[in-house]
Amino acid sequence: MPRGQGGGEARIAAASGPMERTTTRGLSPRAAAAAFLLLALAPLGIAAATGEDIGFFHQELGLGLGLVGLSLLLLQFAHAGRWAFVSGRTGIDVTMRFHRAAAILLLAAVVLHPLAFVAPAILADPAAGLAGLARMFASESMTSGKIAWIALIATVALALARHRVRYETWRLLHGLGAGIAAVGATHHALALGFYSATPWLFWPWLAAMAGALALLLWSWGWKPWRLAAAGHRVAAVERLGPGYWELRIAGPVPRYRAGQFFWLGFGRAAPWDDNPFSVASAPGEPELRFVIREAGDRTRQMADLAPGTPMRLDGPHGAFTLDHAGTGPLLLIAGGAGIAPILSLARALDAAGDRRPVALLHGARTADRLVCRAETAATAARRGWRILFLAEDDAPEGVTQGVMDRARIAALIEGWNVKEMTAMICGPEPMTTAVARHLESLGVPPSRIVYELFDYA
Amino acid sequence: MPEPLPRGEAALRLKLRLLLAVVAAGALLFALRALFA
Repeated sequence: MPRGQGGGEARIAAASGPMERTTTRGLSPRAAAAAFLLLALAPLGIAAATGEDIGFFHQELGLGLGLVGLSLLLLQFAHAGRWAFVSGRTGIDVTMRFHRAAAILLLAAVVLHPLAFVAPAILADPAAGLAGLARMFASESMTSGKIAWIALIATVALALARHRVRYETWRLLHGLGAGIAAVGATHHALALGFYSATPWLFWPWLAAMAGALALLLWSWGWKPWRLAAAGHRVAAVERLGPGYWELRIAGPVPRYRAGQFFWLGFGRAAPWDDNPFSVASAPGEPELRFVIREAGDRTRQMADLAPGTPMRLDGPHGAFTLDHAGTGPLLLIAGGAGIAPILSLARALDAAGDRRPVALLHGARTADRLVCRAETAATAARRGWRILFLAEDDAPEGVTQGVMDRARIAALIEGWNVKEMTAMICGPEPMTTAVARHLESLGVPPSRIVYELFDYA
Repeated sequence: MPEPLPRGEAALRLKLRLLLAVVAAGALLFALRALFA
């Protein structure tokens, strides 16, 4: 599973080979935020400019929540679409974290939207007010709105409980629920909307709904079909340690940067059944290699993957790359499965003959989970890198028993200019934030601490 | 007690929440027109 987050500007010169850069397309984080605000608030602005006021606060609040709810709902499709234009430069991890935060505001707006209309009546006379609410919900003209309301609440509730559901089941239901909510809510707005009757809103709503559905169909139809036709297959699966596997892929090697990740779909997996995995190989290698830890539904079956199994590779994605690393000293920190992109970065630096000072910190629960230790130790010795292997439970030769505390990190970067160095961290969230905190306390600027946080399991 | 967040992480979370707060404030302002119409 990929980990990491980008910051800082690209300073590595364009070159071919292991350090190859591909131009990241799309909106800058600031432009993406501005576009989001513009699109989320535009319906309110259009309604205020073109509609006649209803006149009562609670009704205007209900209508305002409805307008904001629909725009947030349709914008969620753009966040979730792994679309380089939207998330290429912001990072899919940040975009998806925003998707989840926005879902809570969306849920609040949609739940409160009908309630706002009857709130004064309920406050004045609860029984009569609730009867009015029941009549509103029973009305035939409310059918599409009701379906959207229930679909949206169920979709967000299922997303909050997604860890209890099979991954592919929740992904399918999430997309279906969101699609039903989008169609129902748009129909509701166009059929009953007070402000949405104006052509200035009617046509944009219809176009936005069509766009949202097109994105869903593209990611579940056209894209997986194209990816399956690219001819990628499992070349080999090799055990690296307890629960750790190296997956090698045969077929054309896509252009990618060290530290990026792909969504992988195996065999006849449904379009919504793919998982993100970080590349462990360096660009320029003849094969794409991944280091995968058995964790989710799919990754438990690594040992059973037969060579020749067809695959879908969606990517590359992610901003955990050397573009953010500047030219100063580089500290690479990997915890557990986080070694995959760190291996990719180390292999790329080695293959490019990069001369900057590098330190590598690799931690795991046990020493046999410090996968590819012999390789990274040999690279470090050859390149003069500092290296420290940490295991929590044991300490064979070359491995220190313990955790990534402040003193160990301080020792690794001793003598470095902390303002010019970059730290790239990949591991579980508690480890990542703890290490980032230690680095900040040692004087490393937050913009030079690079990581991505994912929660896709 | 949960550990404090790194500054960079806290700043990112604040930015994401601020974006959403602006949208929520937009809906409220929209309704407030009724009081000042």
